[in-house]
Order: sequence, then C-alpha cells, then structure tokens
Amino acid sequence: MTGNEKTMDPNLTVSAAPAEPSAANVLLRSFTRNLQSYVLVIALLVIWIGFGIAAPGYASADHVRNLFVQMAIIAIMATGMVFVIVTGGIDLSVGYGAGFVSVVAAWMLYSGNADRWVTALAPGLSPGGHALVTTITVVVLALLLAVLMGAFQGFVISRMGVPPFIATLGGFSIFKSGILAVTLGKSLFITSYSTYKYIAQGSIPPLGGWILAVLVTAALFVRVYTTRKRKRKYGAEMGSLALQLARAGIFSVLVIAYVLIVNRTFEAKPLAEQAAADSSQEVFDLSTLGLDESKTQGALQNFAGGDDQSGVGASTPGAIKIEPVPDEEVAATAATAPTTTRPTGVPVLVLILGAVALIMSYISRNTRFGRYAYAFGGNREAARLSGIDTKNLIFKVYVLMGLLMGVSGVALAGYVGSGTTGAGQGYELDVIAACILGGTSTLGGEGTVFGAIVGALIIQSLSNGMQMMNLQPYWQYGVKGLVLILAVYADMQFKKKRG
Amino acid sequence: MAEDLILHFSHVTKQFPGVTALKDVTIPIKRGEIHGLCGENGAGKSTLMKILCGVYPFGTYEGDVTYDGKPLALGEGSIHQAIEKGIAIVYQEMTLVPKLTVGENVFLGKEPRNRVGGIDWDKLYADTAAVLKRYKLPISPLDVVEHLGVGQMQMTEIAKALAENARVLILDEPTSALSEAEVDQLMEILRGLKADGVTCIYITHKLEEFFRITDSVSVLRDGKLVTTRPTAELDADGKGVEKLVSLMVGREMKERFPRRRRTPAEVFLRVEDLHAVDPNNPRKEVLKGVSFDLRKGEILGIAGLMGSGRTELVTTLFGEYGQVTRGRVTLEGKAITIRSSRDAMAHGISLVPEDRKRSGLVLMQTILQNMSLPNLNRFASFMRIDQDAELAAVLKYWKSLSIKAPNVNVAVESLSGGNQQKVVISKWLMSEPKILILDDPTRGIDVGAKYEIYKLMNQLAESGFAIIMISSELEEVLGMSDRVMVMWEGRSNGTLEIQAATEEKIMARATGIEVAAG
Repeated sequence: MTGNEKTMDPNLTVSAAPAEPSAANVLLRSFTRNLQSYVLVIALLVIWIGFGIAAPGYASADHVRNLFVQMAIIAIMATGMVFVIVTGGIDLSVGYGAGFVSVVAAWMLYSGNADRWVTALAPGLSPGGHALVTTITVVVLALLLAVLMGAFQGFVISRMGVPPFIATLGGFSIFKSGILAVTLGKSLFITSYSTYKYIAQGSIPPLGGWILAVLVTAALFVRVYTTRKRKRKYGAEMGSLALQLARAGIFSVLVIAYVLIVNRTFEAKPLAEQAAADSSQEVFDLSTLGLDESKTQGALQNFAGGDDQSGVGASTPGAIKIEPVPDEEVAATAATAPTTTRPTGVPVLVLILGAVALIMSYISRNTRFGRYAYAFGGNREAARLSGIDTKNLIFKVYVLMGLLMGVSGVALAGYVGSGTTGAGQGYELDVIAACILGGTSTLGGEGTVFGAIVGALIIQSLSNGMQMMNLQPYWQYGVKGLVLILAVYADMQFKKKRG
Repeated sequence: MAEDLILHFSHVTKQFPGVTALKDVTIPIKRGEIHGLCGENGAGKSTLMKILCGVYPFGTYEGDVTYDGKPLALGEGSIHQAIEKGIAIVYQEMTLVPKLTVGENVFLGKEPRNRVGGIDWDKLYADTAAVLKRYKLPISPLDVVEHLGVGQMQMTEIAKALAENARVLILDEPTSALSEAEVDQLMEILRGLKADGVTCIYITHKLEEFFRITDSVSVLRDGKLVTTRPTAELDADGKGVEKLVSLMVGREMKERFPRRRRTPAEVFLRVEDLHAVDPNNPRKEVLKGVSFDLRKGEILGIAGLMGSGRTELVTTLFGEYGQVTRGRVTLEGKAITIRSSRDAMAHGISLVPEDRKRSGLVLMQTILQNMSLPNLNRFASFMRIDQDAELAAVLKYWKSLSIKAPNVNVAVESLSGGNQQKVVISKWLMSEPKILILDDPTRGIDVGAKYEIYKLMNQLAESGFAIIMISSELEEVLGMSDRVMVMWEGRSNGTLEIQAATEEKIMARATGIEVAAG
C-alpha cells in the first residue's frame, strides 16, 4: 500500500483516466506521494552529514563498520517487534529477554558445561571440530530457550487473555530475575571461545563481501524486472520504470559503498599487513570490535552496562562496570593481533541482520502468517470472521519475537564477550522506538520490516554521533526522546494531510 | 432576496487531485425547512456537507456559501467554528461515550461550572431536561447511554446538537439503524424541530422518507446538481420514488427489484428448534427455538424487527456468536456442529456480515488483500503465497462483479459503500461456498449498486447457491425472496411462500400479533 490510494477522497472512487503525464512529473508526484518513507531516509542522511562534519571520526571507515554492527542487535529484534506492534500488541520484555538468553549462553561456555556435554556426546573430535560443535550446541540451546520464553508469553497473552502490556511487563521482571539467578551478580566471561565470538565479532573475507554486493545488486534489478512482468501479465498499474530503477540503483550503490568501506579498498596499506589482517579474522582479537584501540575499552565497558562511550548499550545507565580483562587469554590474543591491524570485511553480524531482514520481510509479505498478522491488526473482527485462528496467530507472533530475541541474545553474548547482570537493559525501548520511527502504527495494521531497520539505524546513528561529540549522557537521552516524539508527530501530520 | 434563505450554496466547486467532486453546485435552503439531499454514493453529498461543517475549510473550494445572509468562511480545523455558528451534524456513526449519562454526553466539553470550578451537576441535568422536554425527546437525562436503544442514542445526539443552539441540523442517514417505530418517532421529533424554526438537511438512501418528511429535495449526480424541487411537486402523481431514482441515476429504472422465477431444488440445510445463549452472558437466551429449511437455488428472506434475533441467528449458524444449547442443524441430511467461522467455511457456509466496516473489511488494506484473506489457504503453502494465482483469482471477481476502482491495489477505505460491499461479497464468493448468508447486504448503499447486488443474488441462486438474506426493508424482502421466514423475539414465527406474503402479514408475525402454529 503506497500513499497514493489513500489520498483519494472516499467519495471519489472512479476517476477519469488522467492525461499522460511527463516522466519528470511522474517522478515528482511519486516522490511527494511517498514522502513519508523518504523522510526517514532524508533524516538519516541529515544525521550522517551533520555528525560527519561535527564529530571527528564519524565519517571514518572504522565508525561506519562499527555502526552497523552495533545497530544489528536492536534491529534484529525490531523486525520481530514490527509483527508484535502490527497485531496491536507490545513486548516490553525483549531487553531482559535477550539479556537472559545472553547470560545463559555465556554461562554454558563459562562454566565449561557445554564443553563437558560435547565431550560426553561426541568424544574424539579435533580441537577445531570440538569448538565448532560446542558453539553450535550453545547457539541451538539458547535459541530453544528463547523460543520457549516467547511461547510462554504467547500462551499467557493468546490463551489466558492477559493484555500484552501486562504479560510482557511480567516477562520483563521474570527475565531480569533469570539474569540475576544465572550470573549471581558476576560477569561470566567467554574468554576462550573465539569460535562463539566469531558470530558477533568476526568478518567475512573481502572477496565474500564483493560476491555479496554483486548478488544483492543483481537481485535488486531482477526484482524490478519480475514485478513488472507480473504486473504486465495481469494488466495492473506498473508504476514508473525510471523510479523503480533509480530506487534499485541507489540501494545497490549504498550496498557497494558499504562493502568498499568495510573492505578498506581505498585505504593505502602494505600488502603484508593486509594479509595479516585477513589471516587474523579467525582468531579473536580486541580490534575486531571495530573500534580504535583507544575506544575499545569503552565499548567493552559499555556492553557490560558501564559508561556510555559508544555501542548498543547506549541506554544502559548505572549498571556494573567491568574491569579490563587481566586474562592470560586476552594477553595472548592481543599479542597475535598487532594493534596496527584493523578489522576488514563485512561483519558476520551484519550478514545475520541482512538474512533476518530478508526472511522477516518475506514473511510479512509472502506468507499467510504475515498477511493474517496485518489483517488482524487492521481489523480483528474482520480477521476472525474470515476464519483466521486468531489465538494461534498471536501465539505465533510472540514465539517469533522470542526466536529473534534469542538471535539478539546469542549475538549480544558474543559481542560483549561475557554475560553480565546488566545485559539487555533498556533495549526494549530502543527496539520499540526503532519500529515507531520506521513507521509502524501503534494502532496496529501498519508497519514494515525495512522501516524498522532504518529506524534502528537512525537511533544508533544519533547515539553514536552524540557520544563521539562527547555530549553528556543527559543530553543524549533527551535528544533521543525528542526525536521519537517529533517523528511520531510528523507522521501524524502526514496522515492528516492524506486523510 | 425574495425568499428567506438560511443557507445558500452558490456555484460551489470542489476539486481533488484528478477529480472534481462538486461542480458548480447551487442550492438555496430556506429557513425552517427540511431539505432532502439525495444522490448515489459518490454523487457529492458528503463533500458538500463537509464544506458546510468546515472539514474542508474556506479557500479549499470555489464558490460561496452564505449562511444567514453572511458569507460562511470557516478556517482550518474549523469544525468547532461551525458548531459555534449553529451548524451541527448528527453522524451515521454514533459519537457518544457509552459509559456516561445522557446529560453528561449532551454537555460533554461544555459542562456548566459552579463557584469552585467544579461541574454544576444540578444545572447540567436541569438544562438537559429542558432541551429534552422542549423537543419532546422521550429519554431521561440520567439514562446511561450504553443501556439505550439505537433510536434513543440518536435522540441523545440530536439533543447534544440542540443544546449548542443548532439552527441547521444535518442528519446523515439517521434511520439506517432504526426500527419502523423508531423512524416514526424520529419523524415526529423532526416536525417538532421544524415548528421551532430549526432547519434540517436530511440525507438518506431510503427514498420514501423524503416524501414523508422533507419540504424540498435536491438531487446530486456525479458532483452536479440535477434539480432542487419542492417534494410535493415531485410526488404529484404518487410516483415520487421512481422519479427520484431516475433523477439520481440519470436513466429510467423500470424495476427496483429484478424479480426472477426460480424452482428451488431439494432441502439443503435444515435448522430445527435451535436455542442459543449469549456467550458473554449464559443466562441470556438469544435464540428461543428457530426452525427453517433452506433449499438449493433459493433466496430465503429473513424478516423481523431490530432485536428479534435475526443477526444472532446467522452469526450463531456461522459459529461466531451464540452458544447452542438445544436443537439440530443438518446439512444434506447429516447433523453438523459449527464452533467457529473455520468450521462454517469447511461446511461451505459464508457470511457477509451486517456491518461491513466493522466486521467485513480491513479498511486500510487493498481490495486484493481483503478478497484473498479468507481464501489464502487455496493459494498458499506454509512457506509462500502463490501471488500469481492469488491475483488471477482476485481479478476474476473484480471483473465479474464490476467493482469500480482503478485497480485491485487500492485501499478499500477509498471505495464507495456499494463497491465496498461488492468486495465483501467477492471475498466470500471466492471461498466457493454452498450457502451464502447476507446480513442486510444493501444497507447504506445507493440505488444503482443495490440493483447490481440484487442481480448478482439472482445469478447466484440460479447457479445453485442457497442464499439467506436478512433485510430491514420489507420491500426488499418481498422483492427478492422466494420464501420469507419471520422472526419474533428470538424464535421463528413461520415461513411464508412469496406468493402469499404481504407487508401486513409479515408485520403481523414480526410483532407477534399472529403466531405460527407449532
């Protein structure tokens, strides 16, 4: 549904065929029609350009790489939250939910239990194989736990009839309890499991990034072609080809630019160093966090819920602060990764986000579940009378939210490198804000996965920019709050104009 | 000016991007008259009224509106200005707060204050009582709105407008949800208002009402004024309704109901002594013994007054309302139980619900999405929806029902009532039912679209569908059904063959004056 159908007055169903407009006219009209979705993108560009000028290092490759990694944990959950909000619900528990999953994953590794299980079940693996199987086991168990958590909340909401706000407020507290019970107030470090941490900290080799960029570009243009072909076949309105091509083109350019930047194609660098950087990808090193060395410590503290220097945990005030890890392990890895090496290649976490976004976007448009969710959000009564099992639908929505909470939780543990008592604190607000910034209507029935991801990117870009300008935290929260309010206000104004 | 005009639309033109909604419309409205406004959906009635109450402010249209001798120039967001000037609208959809009393609703937002700044309840209720008494509205200021009937709620709406000293009252489809008795009462109230000097603009799709109550009628077609005439002149030869119809559609309509002779086949669905209770209140029995047969290839009309259990019956049959406590439903000789709409659909039963906006459509979604909603199982596996098959199926119904829309990706909220109803019907036809239940299928839609829906119903019956049609309009029941089942107080009160059915006989059974044997 684009804006154009909605601008029609209810009384004016059948309009005469308009005169053939010029191409420029079509572009302009289409632009004003879709202004709402462009506003998001424009806002993002303004933020980028503004901070790029004002904040030193904001426009650097390091930061670009870092930004997308940091937003991923929020964005992954936001893609699920879209479904929750579209069906008229809310999930307040996703922050501590992801936190709980992350500490359980960290505990399995920290306590050595995962090791023992794998040794008991599959003895005689090579060290590499053992590490891989252990990682897979931990990930699978963590996701399973998350699905169960989602199913629990889904059951309470859909079968017991407790309103989502209350049910997930309960979940918020319960999961917080879980975090405390597992950590007992300590931080559970995953120091010796680089395979696990690869999930959140690793990158794919530059060639992989290039292949990816080519595939995405090809897919975008093929999609323009196939959609038009189908529309032509059924005589539906095709829209402007120039606009569709322009859109695919711009998006491809962005993807290619991103790959260029993270692959550091234009950074002059001795070949030997490049090779060292590539070979070090498999090994955990602090610098794969994607930060300047001076900032690395801050990021770690931040993810542990400490200072707001930078990172996803920008909204985690007052939690515990962890000390630098005086671990032999770290010292050893630090030695293998010289501080001059900077991470290169598309981060694995960004790939995971891309995959999640594709799948969720597909689900929202091309499956019964997705259609039912939007129909239910638009009109519950009509959905029920159309033979949709609405209880089952809502149950599934929260199970899906649970699964994504799990993905974020697994990534969070890998990214922070430990399970901490403050894990996930406050994320729910960023996740919900991302959806709303991305155009999801709190009244239900409207919202897109893509929008939510752009929303998450906006929030992260703002947070990082303010941190890099060394603004005080009290400013940062206020600005984020105001931006959210402004965004919703602007959205309402647009709707009023159209309605 | 010779005549005493309270309101004068003069050469009003309103354009939207690509469309002209009103074109050079000039309508004079005399002080104290009841002026009917008549036209098909999309003819421009609503646009005109929106100009009058400031939804489209001054400057967004061309031409002038003169109110009480002065130009009416309402600013942006000026609905309050219109009310202050004495122009009030009573909407089709009620705008009352259900939990509050009549008095609280009437003075909502303008409560009289006492000395300490609190609400002066004595004055509030005394003033409400005064308004109610003056216009002879038979409700108490202390009644809680949610306990009132639809007709009484409407009186509350009218009282609310009058308490603001409304001098022009716009009534948009005021009788669409009223019973005959309530309509009579409303007419009485309107005459009282007229005697008091209040001017009314009356919009309805029930054309007979124009001749019962209005002094003059303006007919709009495609945004243009066709004519403004005294009602008496239109009805000079007693054929006012037919004349209005032809003015509205711009051609002669020979028959309002395309009657067809049919020979219904064997009994398809049999309902015997069905009893059911309200699921939210198991002590309230909503169906107290309903029996009827439905044959293939027939239209069975269900008549009855508001609250006689018509809608409760069909929603119970569809598995979405009453809890069946007694009785049997047999389909092709086999007893069936229906616990949900899914069960009903599995048995080939579809329901076009009474209120299409509330329960039939997802307004913000497209024609395509609405139509395929109950039918996605046909196009979809777990992993994906076959969008080619979906689009092909939707286009088939879009074309065969000639839904007027640029394409199937248009949001249904932008369609007219008649086209929206066609979308709801298509959606259920696509599910390939054997029994199609239509609950008041032509409510609030214009004559042309009504006629098309009647034709469609005939086609369906002829192709072997078994159709149940509920209707509030007796004429429609008589015009379309092969047999008429009358409901009275939650029970079936006999089924009449159409040849034997008359309005009097149906009313006698609907009111329980005559009770069927057994």
